[in-house]
Amino acid sequence: MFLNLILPFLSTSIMFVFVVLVFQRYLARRKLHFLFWGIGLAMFGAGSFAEAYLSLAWNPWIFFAWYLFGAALNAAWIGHGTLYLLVRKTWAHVITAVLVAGSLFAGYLMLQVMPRLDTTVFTTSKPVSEQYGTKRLDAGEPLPTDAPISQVEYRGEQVTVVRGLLPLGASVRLTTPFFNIYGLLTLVGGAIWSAYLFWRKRVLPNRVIGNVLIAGGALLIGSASTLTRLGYGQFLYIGELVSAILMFTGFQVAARPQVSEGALVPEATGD
Amino acid sequence: MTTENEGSTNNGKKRRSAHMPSNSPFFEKIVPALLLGMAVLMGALILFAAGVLLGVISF
Repeated sequence: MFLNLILPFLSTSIMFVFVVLVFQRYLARRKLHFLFWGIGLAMFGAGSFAEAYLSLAWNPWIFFAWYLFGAALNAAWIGHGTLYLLVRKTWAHVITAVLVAGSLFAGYLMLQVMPRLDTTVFTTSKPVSEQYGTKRLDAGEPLPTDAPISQVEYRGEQVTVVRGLLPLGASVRLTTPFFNIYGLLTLVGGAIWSAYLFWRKRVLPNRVIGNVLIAGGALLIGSASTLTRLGYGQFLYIGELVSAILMFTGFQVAARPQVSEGALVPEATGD
Repeated sequence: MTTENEGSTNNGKKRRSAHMPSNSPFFEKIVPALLLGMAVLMGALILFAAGVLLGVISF
């Protein structure tokens, strides 16, 4: 339990500083990419705070925040900030409307599933990432010995499941791949692309390194989330912490230079 | 970036920091390998997420 508490708490602390720095930049420069980065990073921080809280006690609204902000939305919102640096503002505004609408819809689906949470399976002895989802067991699949097993009716047939907090087939879980694909493309893809452009021009090595660190951090949390979906949730908290450190370091390294526009994924043109 | 009047030591330092060191194995070999590797991993994660969406991967 100690690690379940301390790792998310450390991630939250790093994210808090990170968010303050990014919002300070937004207030100073009024650039929309800082705003979206700040919102996305705040969501990341809310998710890791929820993990720390849920290692001590149960609260349905903390779980709501963990799933919606921590699992579903944060990568897409951080990445959306990067989009403002890479495409025309008109397009970015259109996609902003889609992102906001999609996020509200995911929030609605999450609200709908709240009364159906199976809180009897909750324990503080395991990370929430290892107990949030109900997993259907295929025929012949060995039954786990230390997990709550049930027979439930699902789409007209009786299936064996390892029970989790969210019911089997919860619609909100189908929204996360959309947000995560978008987040991967914009945050990781944007950082890789920017690093490549600076590298090709042989300029601003700190921005090359900064973007490599940001892309690495984002990929790490993406990989840990993927492992969580596959049932290996024990890597999520350490993945989040290392990811927070890498992205924060990358931001600091990329923002260090003498030019005025420092950023998570700085402008693709070097001059 | 840097200006054209770069006679002083400070400006010289700026110029060095604004350009990649030449013949650096880190920038010549490791950075491109990292970028390529990360692009491949990103593609794999996107494929996984698409697999979940399409129902190929159960959740």
